[in-house]
Amino acid sequence: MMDGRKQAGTMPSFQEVLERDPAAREYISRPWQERLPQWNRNCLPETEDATEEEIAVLRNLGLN
Amino acid sequence: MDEFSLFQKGIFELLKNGRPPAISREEFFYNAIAGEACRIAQDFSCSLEINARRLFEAQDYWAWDMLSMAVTDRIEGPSPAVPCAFKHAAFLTYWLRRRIFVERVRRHPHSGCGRDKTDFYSDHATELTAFLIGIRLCAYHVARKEAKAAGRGEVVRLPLLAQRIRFDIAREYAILLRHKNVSPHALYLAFRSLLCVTA
Repeated sequence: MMDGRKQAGTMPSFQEVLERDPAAREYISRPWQERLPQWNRNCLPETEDATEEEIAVLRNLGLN
Repeated sequence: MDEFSLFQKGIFELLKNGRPPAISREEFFYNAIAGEACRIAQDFSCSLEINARRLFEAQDYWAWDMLSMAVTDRIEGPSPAVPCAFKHAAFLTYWLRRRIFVERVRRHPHSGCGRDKTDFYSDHATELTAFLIGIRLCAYHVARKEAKAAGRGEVVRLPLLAQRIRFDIAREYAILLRHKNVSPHALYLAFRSLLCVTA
């Protein structure tokens, strides 16, 4: 499918990145949902207060 | 086919979940996004150093936003709505840009694409790369739909996708992304408009 695509150059492998970068290694050692700040986990969906009419418009736009 | 290609069926689920148990979500995301970013940099006669932690943060925020959008009980009824490809791509561009996942840009001594483009890319690498990744994902989605409508089984070679996106347009968006707060919803509308999607 992707004939003729270039290789991604000298990009280090995933394992090399984790070996070199303790911050990244520590970061992904926890389950991903627990990494998010509390405010982000608790935030309400943007359309919570929208009227039915507004939701219909947003839905048409794919922005619900 | 490159198993980490961004241009394959089900790419957004792969970017969120990886291929368990063999490939973790972080490994898939790193290989797919950083790989495409490095190829884009090569097009501008540059190479990139990626900040892996910021890349994983972008993945987390993006995946969470996509999950939060399944809150559409009151809109879609009992089954959760899945955000469309344009929305996935727009939010991905937004978070890649916001987390500034490019750590460093190196210019290659002999520029094959023109010094102006290389200069611009090296100054706007995060923004231009994030924009091109998002819009190429959208272009792939459109091409898949077109191929399906035309009765062709598979798509599309990337050069065709890349040609759809003019450099001067990408340049303007990169400048906008660097200096203004551009919401993911605005990016969503921009991607749809640029690819002339009406339905």
